[in-house]
Amino acid sequence: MPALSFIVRRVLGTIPVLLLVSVLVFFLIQLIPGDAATAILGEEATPQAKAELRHQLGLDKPLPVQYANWLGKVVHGDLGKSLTDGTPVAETIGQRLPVTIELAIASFLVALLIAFPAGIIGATMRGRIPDYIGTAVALVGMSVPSFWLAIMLITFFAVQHNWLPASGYVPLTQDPLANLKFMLLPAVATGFRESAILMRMLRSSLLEVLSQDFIRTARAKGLTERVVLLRHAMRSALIPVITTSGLTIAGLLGGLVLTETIFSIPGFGRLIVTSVLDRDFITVQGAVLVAAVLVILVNLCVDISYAVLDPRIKAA
Amino acid sequence: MVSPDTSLTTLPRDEATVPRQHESSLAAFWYRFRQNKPAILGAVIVAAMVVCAATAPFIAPYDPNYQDLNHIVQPPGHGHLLGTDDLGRDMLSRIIFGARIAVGASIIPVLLAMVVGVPLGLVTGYFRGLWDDVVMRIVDALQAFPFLILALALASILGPGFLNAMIAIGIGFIPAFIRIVRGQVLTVSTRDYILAARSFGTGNIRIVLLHVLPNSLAPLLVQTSVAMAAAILAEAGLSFLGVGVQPPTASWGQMLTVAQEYINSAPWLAVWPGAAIFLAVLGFNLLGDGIRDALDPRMG
Repeated sequence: MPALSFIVRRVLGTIPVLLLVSVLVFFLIQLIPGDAATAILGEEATPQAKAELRHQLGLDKPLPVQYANWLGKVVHGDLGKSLTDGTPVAETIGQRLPVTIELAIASFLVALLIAFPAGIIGATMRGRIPDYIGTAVALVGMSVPSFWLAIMLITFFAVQHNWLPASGYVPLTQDPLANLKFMLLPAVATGFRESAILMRMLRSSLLEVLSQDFIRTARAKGLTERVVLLRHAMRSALIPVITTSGLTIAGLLGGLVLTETIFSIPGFGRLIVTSVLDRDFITVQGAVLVAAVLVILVNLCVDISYAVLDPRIKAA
Repeated sequence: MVSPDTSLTTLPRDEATVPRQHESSLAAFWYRFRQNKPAILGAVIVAAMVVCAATAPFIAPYDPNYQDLNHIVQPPGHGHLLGTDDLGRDMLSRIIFGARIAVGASIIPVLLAMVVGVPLGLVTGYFRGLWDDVVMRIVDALQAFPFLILALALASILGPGFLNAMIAIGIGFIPAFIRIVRGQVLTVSTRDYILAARSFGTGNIRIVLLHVLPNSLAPLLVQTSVAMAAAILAEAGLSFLGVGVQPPTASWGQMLTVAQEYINSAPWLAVWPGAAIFLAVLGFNLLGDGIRDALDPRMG
């Protein structure tokens, strides 16, 4: 069972990374210049209020004790309480995260819808006009700021033509059609950049596979170009694309911070921005931890799927 | 930075031939780069941005912070080529001065990441062992953080402002530089000329600085260009969210924040700063692709 042993090793290897992530996130608060309590409450706060906050945050204890206490709470799902309204951070994140996950999936689907046809056309028509157009579009996608694209999309589709709403959010469970209308522009704004990355990866991966011996053999057997491409070449070419897809999740999460802010979507990204602007460091700390854990888990899933798809990984 | 010219000059038996090989590879690189039209376009865009930044006080038609409250939110036209913003400031002048922030943003974080990342990558890749394991696990952990979220959190904790945003972005780049250099060092360290240098009794530090580092520069150069593009985007993003460059300093990201408020009445306000960010990032991306293709034509 080489695949199983790979998966077990990969899962075990995640534990020290998760621990290190927790150490780094914990030390975020320690980076606040000067006294953290003063930085949070302001210069005008009373000494009692500052002392109370230091006690609440455990800042009056030695660092290793502070970390152990904090980690103990985190493991039990307690990320502390918001400094602005006192609500549990984990609860707030739990409410916001589904919205962001939905938007991330929608953005990823947009990215795939653009990247797959463009990548395949680019590789199969290398050096011809459609390839040049695809390459140019990918370059534009990698260079255009998602937040500017979002503003331009709002200007055209919402302000000038009133085809789609400019901002807001309706839950999928409440009204699927309205949800789609609200999600379309944010998903395109975020997914366009990711599509460029995936398209470039798919094109170069397909080009490499198409020059290999087994493809020549498949063609020599008389298989149609469509069968060679879709049944043989794509299977091999997809492996690096799947890895890249995992890596784009981190980029997507970062991009969603901006997109959610522009489109006023009450998601996880907007929560981070409002917490940063309100100097609610406890919420920032909790949100950063959750974002990192999400990225680690997604990459773990990608690696496991990679092992299932690629026999060379099983043997490694 | 160590010049690539020193890379192959310490092995006595190669002294007569290697510099010539090196010159020819540099000439081949330059020839291939010159043939790549998009790369030249990228170089021209980047050069134009740097010239704008350097000569901003001479070429900008107005003081970027001068408020003409009688002419607020003017559309592009006579007197103000790109219009005016919500405080009557000339958009063209602010775009030109904004290039200074963009150039700074493309250099400072990347320099910070290189100063930390390159030595760490060299040491971990060359000496391996426990030190390598520890550093690489920290790199793994750092890479788990979505870049913009990490930069946003750091910028908020350090306090809003240009320099803190630069530090935050630079910290976010360090893992990529460590990985690139380490990976390259692992490849280079097993080459014959390194083994030969060892057999001559050359010290580790000398080998690392004179042989390993110069021969690891190629992917580093590509990564630098990619990171410069990403840094401009990140700075603009942080300034857009209000934790980067603070008003009244002209920054393209911050100009977009103002533009968003006028999206219904003055949509052109968003066009220019966004186009400036796009062009700057495009320039570095084209340059990076051109350098990569010129270094390794198979990758094109």
